[in-house]
Amino acid sequence: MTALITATGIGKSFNLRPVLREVSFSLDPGETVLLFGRNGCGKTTLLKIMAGIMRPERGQASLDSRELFTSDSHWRADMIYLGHRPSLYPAFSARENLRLSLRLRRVDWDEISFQTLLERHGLSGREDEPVGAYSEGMLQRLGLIRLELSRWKLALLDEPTSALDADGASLLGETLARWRTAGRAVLFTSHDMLWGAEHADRALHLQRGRIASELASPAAPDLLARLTGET
Amino acid sequence: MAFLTILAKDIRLELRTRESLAAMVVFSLTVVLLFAFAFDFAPDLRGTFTPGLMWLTYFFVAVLGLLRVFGQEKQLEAYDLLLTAPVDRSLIYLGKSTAFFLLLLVAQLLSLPVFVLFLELPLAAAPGYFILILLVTDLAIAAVGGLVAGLSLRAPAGDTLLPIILFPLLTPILIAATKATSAALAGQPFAEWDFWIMLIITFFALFVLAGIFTFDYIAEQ
Amino acid sequence: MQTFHSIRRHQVLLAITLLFAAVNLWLIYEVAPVVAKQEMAQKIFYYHVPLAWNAFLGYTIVAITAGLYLVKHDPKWDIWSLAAAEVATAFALLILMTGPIWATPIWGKSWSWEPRLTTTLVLFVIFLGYFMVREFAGPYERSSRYAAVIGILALIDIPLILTAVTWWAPEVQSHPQMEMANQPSAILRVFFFSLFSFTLILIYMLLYRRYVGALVYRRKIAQGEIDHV
Repeated sequence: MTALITATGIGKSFNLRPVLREVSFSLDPGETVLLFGRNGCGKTTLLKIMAGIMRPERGQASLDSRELFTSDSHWRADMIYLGHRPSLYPAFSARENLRLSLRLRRVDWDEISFQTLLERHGLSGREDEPVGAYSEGMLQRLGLIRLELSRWKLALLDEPTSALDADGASLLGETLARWRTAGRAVLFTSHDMLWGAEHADRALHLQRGRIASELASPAAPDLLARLTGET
Repeated sequence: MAFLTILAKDIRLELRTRESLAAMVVFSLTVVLLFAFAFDFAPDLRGTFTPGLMWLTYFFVAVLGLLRVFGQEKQLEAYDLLLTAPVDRSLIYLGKSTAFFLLLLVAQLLSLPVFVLFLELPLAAAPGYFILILLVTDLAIAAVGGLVAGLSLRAPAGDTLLPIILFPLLTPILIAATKATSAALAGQPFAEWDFWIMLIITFFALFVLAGIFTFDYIAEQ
Repeated sequence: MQTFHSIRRHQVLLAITLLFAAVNLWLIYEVAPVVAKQEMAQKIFYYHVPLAWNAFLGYTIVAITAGLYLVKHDPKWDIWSLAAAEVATAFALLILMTGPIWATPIWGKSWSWEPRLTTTLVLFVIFLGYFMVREFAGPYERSSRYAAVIGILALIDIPLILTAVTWWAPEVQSHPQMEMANQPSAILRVFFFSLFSFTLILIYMLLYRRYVGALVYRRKIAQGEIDHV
C-alpha cells in the first residue's frame, strides 16, 4: 500500500535551539498512530508543522503525493487539525463556528448529521449559544463534531482527550475505530498513555528531536515501561 | 469565495459584539475633547488645524480597530482555523484587511459630527471630495495595517509593536490625507491637489501587492 | 585562531580603505577650493552626500537580501540583511547629525524639515522599529521573517516618503547637494573621490558586520546543541 503521508527530515528550532532535528515518518490510509514523548519534546510543534500552522526550517512532506509546505493551499483540504485549544470564535455559536469552518473547507452543511452529533455528544439545545460560555470539555467535543462533519484523509489531533470525561473519551475511541474502517488516518498525541495505546495501531516515540523508535500494535504496559525507562 | 467567507465572518463578528466600533467612536470623541483642551486655538486658526487633528485621531482609531479585528483571532486560537483551511494566505490578508477597511470607514462616518461640531470642520464645502479622500486614505491604511497587524498578531509584544511599525510607514499617507483635506475643504479646484490623491493611490497599489506576496511568510508561526 | 583581519583579502581591503580615507581628507581640506560664501561649512558636503549614498545603498541591500531570505530560507541572507540594516542605520544617524551641523551656521536653524533629511528621519524611525521587531517579536526563526518583510516595505516606502515630504512643505529650502553637478570640476573631482572612499568604508563595514553576524549565529547554534543534550 502506498503511504498517505510521508514526512522526511523535518527540522525546527526556536531561537536556534533545535526542537525537531530530523523527523521522518509515514502513515498509511486508515492507520491510527500515537505520537508520544516527554513534555517539550516537540509533539505539538510537529503536529502544527504538518498542519501548516508552523513553518519548518528543514524537511519535506507529501500528502497523497502532493507537496506540503508550499504556497499552494489545496493539500489542506485533505488534512484537518484539532489543537489543544479548539480554534473557535467565542462570540459565535456552535452552529456558526462549524458552518464557517465547513464553508472555508468547501463542504456543504448537513443539518441532520449536525443534530445527530450534537445528540451523541450531549450538546443538544446549546448549539445556538456563543461558545465563549462553553466549558473546556464541551469545546473539545465541539472540535470532534467539526472533524466528523468535515471531509479529510488525515487528522492531526493534539491531546484530544485532555478535557474529556470518561464518557467522552470512550466516545472518541469508538469514533477512531470508525475512521479506521473508513480508511481515514489519524496522528494524535495523548497524555493518557493507556488510552492512547489502547486505540492506536502503532506508536511513534519522539525523543531528542527524532523518532527514536516505533512500536507496532503497542500494548499499554510496553509503552509505559518505555516511558519510565526513558529518564 | 474564501475571501468573501472571511470578510463576512469578520463583519458578522463585529455586528455580534459591536465592541470595536463602539470603542473606535468613543475614542474619537475623547481625543477631540483632549485636543480642544490641550490647544487653545484662536477661532481663525481652527480651520488649518482641524484636518491634521482629524487624521491623527483616525490613525489612533485605526490602531484600535486593527488590534480588535486581528486580536479576535487569538482567542481560542481561532486563527488556526483560517491557517489550516484550504485557503491562500493572501486571501486571509485581503479578507481581513477589507473587513478592517469597512470598520474604519464606518467608525469615521459615525465620528465625523464630532469634528464638524467641536472643531468646525467645514465639511459642507466639498462633501464629495471629502468622501473620495476618506475612501482612498482608508484603503491605504488598510493595505499596510492588515499586513503589519498580521505580523504583530503572533509576536509576544505585538500590541506595542503595531503602532511603532505602522505609523512611520504611514507618514506619506498622513501628509497626503491632511493636505488633500485642507485643500478640498478650502474650496481649491481638484486639479491643484490631485497629486495627493495620486500619491495615496500609488501607495495603496504598491502595499497591496507587497501584502499579497509577503503575507505567506508572516502568517505562519 | 582565524579572525576577520587574519584573512588576506580583508587586510588588503582595510589597507586600501584607510589609504583612500587619508587621501580623501587631504583632498577635501588642502586641494578642494574654498567656496566663497560658505567657507569651511561647505566641506561637510564631501561627507554628508556620500553618507546619504551609503545609507540608501545599505537600505537597498537590506531589502534585496530580505527578499532572498524569504524565498530561499537560507539564514546567510538574513545575516547579510541584519548587517546592512545596522550599517545603513548608523550612516542614517550620521546624516541626521551632519545635516544640522551644516544648517546651523548657514541657515541659522539646525532643523528645518528639509525633505531629504526628513525622509532620512522617517526611515531611521522605521528601522528603529525593525530592530525592535528583531528583538521582541518572538523566536529568531519568526522575528527574522517579520524583519525581512519590514525591510522590504521600508524600501518601497522611500520614494513615497520623499515625494510626500517634498510636496508637503514646498517653501522649505532644499539642501544644495543636488546642485553638485553644477559645481566647478575642481570640487566635483574631490566629491567623486570622496563618494568612492565612503563606498569602500561601507563595503568594509558590511563585510565586518556580516562576519560577526555569522560568528554569533554559529555560536548560538552550538549553544542550542549543548542545551539540548
